[in-house]
Amino acid sequence: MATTSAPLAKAPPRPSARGIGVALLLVIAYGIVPLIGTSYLYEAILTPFLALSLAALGLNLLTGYAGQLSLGSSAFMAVGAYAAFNLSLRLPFLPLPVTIVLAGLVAAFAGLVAGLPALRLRGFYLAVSTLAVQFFVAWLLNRVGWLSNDSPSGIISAPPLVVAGLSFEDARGRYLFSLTVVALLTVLAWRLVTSPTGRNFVAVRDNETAARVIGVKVARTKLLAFALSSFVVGVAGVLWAFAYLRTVEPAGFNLDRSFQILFIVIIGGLGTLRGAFLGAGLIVVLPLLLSRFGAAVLGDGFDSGTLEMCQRIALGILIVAFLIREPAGLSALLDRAARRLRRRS
Amino acid sequence: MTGAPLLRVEALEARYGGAVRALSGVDLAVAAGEIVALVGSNGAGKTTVLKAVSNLLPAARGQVTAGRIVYDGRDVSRTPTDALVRAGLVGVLEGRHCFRGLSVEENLVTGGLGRGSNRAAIRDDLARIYAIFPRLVQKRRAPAGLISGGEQQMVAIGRALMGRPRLLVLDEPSMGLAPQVVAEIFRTLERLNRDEGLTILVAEQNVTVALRHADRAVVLENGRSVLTGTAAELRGRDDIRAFYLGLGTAPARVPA
Repeated sequence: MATTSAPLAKAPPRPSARGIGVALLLVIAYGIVPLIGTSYLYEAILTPFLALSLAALGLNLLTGYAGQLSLGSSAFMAVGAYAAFNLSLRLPFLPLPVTIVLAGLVAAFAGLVAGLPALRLRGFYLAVSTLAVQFFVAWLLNRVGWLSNDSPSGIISAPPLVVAGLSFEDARGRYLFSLTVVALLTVLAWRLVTSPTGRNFVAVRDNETAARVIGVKVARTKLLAFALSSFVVGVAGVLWAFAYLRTVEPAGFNLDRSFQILFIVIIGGLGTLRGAFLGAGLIVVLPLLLSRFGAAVLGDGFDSGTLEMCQRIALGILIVAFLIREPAGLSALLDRAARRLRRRS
Repeated sequence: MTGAPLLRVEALEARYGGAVRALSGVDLAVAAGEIVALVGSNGAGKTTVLKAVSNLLPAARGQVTAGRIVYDGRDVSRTPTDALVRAGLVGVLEGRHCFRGLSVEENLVTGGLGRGSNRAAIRDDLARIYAIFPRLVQKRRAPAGLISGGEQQMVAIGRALMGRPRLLVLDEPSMGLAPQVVAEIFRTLERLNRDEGLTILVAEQNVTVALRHADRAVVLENGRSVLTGTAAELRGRDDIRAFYLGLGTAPARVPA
């Protein structure tokens, strides 16, 4: 990915350890993982990790950068997923990438509408208004049969993942497909947050009145944040439905999912791009670790009910701990660890 | 004062939340090239006047209920703030509101972007701001949330100057700052006024400082403008000396 190194080189003194790190990660993700991965690794860990990372990345644009709290992320994922489903069903001649972009645009439009209350509301009140979006979308998808092609309880199945004759149907293919989409959108998101628009997002987050007084168009900035964030979250919904689960129902995009994405952002680090990935990694791996650990300690007594409970407790403790000790999340922890290592060497 | 003033406020009245009356008749005029101080005690309405001028009251659930604000010959009471900035009316809020998450330089750049400057103009303006506030040069990469109060005030003023204002509207630049820093900031403002013809309207609780640097002053009391005059005139008046400067006869003591 040559694009990442060019603007990073803007900071002249050294070619940035971060740029090298990103390149290394991409080499591992594209070059090494596909050689050694098992289908369990792809299906249970990597693909959901990528989809959740992307959703968290989208929410982070809105909440972390622009400072607008949203509890409706999974509704935008649903909008993206169902839009992509309908587009591929009704306009089958469209290539898959076009379908995904259009689905993202539909989600962006939904985000724009959902963002209108943000022009008047702030913080907690805004969060409540995005909650309304969450419930409205679920209701709409259940209510209007056309949206799910009249399938019972709104269940939809993904179309084949084929791009320009290349099939991404198997577990590894779906992983690579997700990886590519996530990598592209991450680069775009990174370009966005380093652009003047990204700075305006932060200005509105840090001090809305001060932003207004120096000429930032606050209303437009907020709506743009909602639209761009929802675009990314919508595409994450497409990945979730098409690449990860393959069969989804509206109930899968519930408030729990929205909270999960918000927690990823909080744990990973608000206002950082890699925070989304760190947080998603933790959220995906945590249940697996807990179930292994639980099975080892408690043996057969550790059933799925206990697991889920433990998972919630652990997650709750983690969030409280992060909010108190490190509001900037895993991303800041990583920074500090890196600095300590550098000082020692 | 000759010719049409750059800013004219006439019989301005304003309320918050539809009920709380904040201003009930403020008149003031600022001619191009002057420094006008808006003085008065806490709650006299200084901030409200400045917010009304920048059309920021709606964001604070307030509204102008009567009167006119004329900037550069146009009634601007309904002009959006960002349009005012592009027309050269730029404000600096009370309490040095920096964008804490952005570096000093990014804060300054935001001011240029708000005006719609292109890259070259932003580079020139940055150099100019660093020349005006040399202290900011070594802090340019530091997050604005982590620099001192005085430096934050300089960032806030610098950010406004990045918008290439014709009229700079400042709210309490001295708030919470050491006297030397306040003096430095006011000297800088005076120099900008003298060398570049920048017109300044500054609300200030520190009347001594304000009257030392301003050409003229308007005194606000309970939401009304009660007195206007040149700074020298006002400095000489006994009641001003008594009430605001704490000189001469002791002011009426307000029970705590």
